[in-house]
Amino acid sequence: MFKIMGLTAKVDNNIILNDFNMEINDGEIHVIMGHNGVGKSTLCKIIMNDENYDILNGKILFNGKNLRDLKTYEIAREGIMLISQNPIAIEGVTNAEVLRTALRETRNDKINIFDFNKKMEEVCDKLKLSRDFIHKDINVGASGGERKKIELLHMAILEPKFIMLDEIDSGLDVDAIKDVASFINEYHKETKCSILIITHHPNIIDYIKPNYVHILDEGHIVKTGDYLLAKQIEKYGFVSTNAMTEDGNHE
Amino acid sequence: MVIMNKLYKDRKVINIIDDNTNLKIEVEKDNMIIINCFFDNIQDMQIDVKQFDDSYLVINYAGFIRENANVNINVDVIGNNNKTVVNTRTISQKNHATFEVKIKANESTQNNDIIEDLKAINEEGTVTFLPVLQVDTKEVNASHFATIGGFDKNELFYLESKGLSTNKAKDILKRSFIENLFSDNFLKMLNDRKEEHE
Ligand SMILES: Nc1ncnc2c1ncn2[C@@H]1O[C@H](COP(=O)(O)OP(=O)(O)OP(=O)(O)O)[C@@H](O)[C@H]1O
Ligand SMILES: [Mg+2]
Repeated sequence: MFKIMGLTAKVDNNIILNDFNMEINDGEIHVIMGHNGVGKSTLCKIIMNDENYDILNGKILFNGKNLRDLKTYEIAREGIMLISQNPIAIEGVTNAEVLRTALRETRNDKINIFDFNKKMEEVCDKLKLSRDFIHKDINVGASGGERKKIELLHMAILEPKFIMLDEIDSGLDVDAIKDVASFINEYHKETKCSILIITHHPNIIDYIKPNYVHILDEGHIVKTGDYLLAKQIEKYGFVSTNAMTEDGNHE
Repeated sequence: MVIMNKLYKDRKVINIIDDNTNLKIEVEKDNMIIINCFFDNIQDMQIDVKQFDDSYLVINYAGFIRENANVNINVDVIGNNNKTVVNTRTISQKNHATFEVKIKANESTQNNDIIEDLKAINEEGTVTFLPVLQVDTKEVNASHFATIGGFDKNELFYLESKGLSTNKAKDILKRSFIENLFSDNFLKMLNDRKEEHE
């Protein structure tokens, strides 16, 4: 189980999260929506213990461990993965190298290079991503959509238990959204992982059915509902949706 | 990295690995010379090059600083229409090294292109870059960059968030920092040599 209790955090002396609370049970899919700059990406990076952000208060628990005590790589090794909004490119370091190194370091056992390559190729094919990327530098010369798929390749190899998808749908064309969504659905079905989806468009949740949809505002979740809440937001915007008092609001 | 828009009569590559013997060469008219240097442990060294006309010189100098050292690279551009590129990529692990990279183009020369690009990552050691562009003519296109820094935080965060330990992530970034400078041929030589050692 993943649980955040009373999290208050700042960046550059601005409080971005203020008494933020959230609970995601194993296998659940949650969605967070909220206007630009409200702190969605910040939340994801704080969970990974990015040193740019200061936590003032609160707990972030994953299977009983307080992630605040762990370094970024230790959090990753607990099985948490962030696919960030804008994955960076790293010249001179290939996808294969990072993944091979990560597996060697985390699983102590020797990896069979033949199986490893075969799996990477299969994943690329499923994602409709050129196999060439396997041995190319991380995200170098890759389009916005390709970068998202490359990150999903990393996910398939590293097999995390809790995945944060920060605007995975941005930069994807209509067909790619379907491919990516079915890839994620399949992974979810196979691994029973938990997923946190950050998005501005309910389109992706037409394909990946969430258990809950939350609205983040003023540093914490102000409204929780289901899939229909996302539809309301699309139709009426955040301001009017927040003011509505219909179902879905269990605060 | 370097765009070639001219065919050179002769193209020579000088590869130097862990040999700090001083080097003195001339790049003749219409010739191109690439000097690749890698040092596992950078030591005192001096490289002197004279460039005449319509020539192209590239010096790629990389390695680890573990002991105090002085490296001097002097390029004397005597003629016209030359290109000169000096790149250094060093990682300061201990102690201190000074790199003086001096490129001279005198009064009577024309239409020369000069670039100095000196980069370092400091760990426990330090480095001083002294880029000197001594150009006595306006008929030259010269630029120099010198960057000394630590590791790129975003790159470290990215690699660590895939489960790589901080040290492993740094190792990978150090390797790529140096390797990005060289051609596949030279990298292959470096790798072969490592395997021999093992
Ligand atoms: N590293 C940083 N340094 C300074 N300010 C930051 C940093 N990261 C985020 N911020 C600020 O924190 C606020 C929240 O940013 P964040 O990226 O979390 O928003 P978001 O909800 O993800 O927005 P969007 O929907 O546009 O992606 C913004 O005002 C942003 O400018
Ligand atoms: Mg964001």
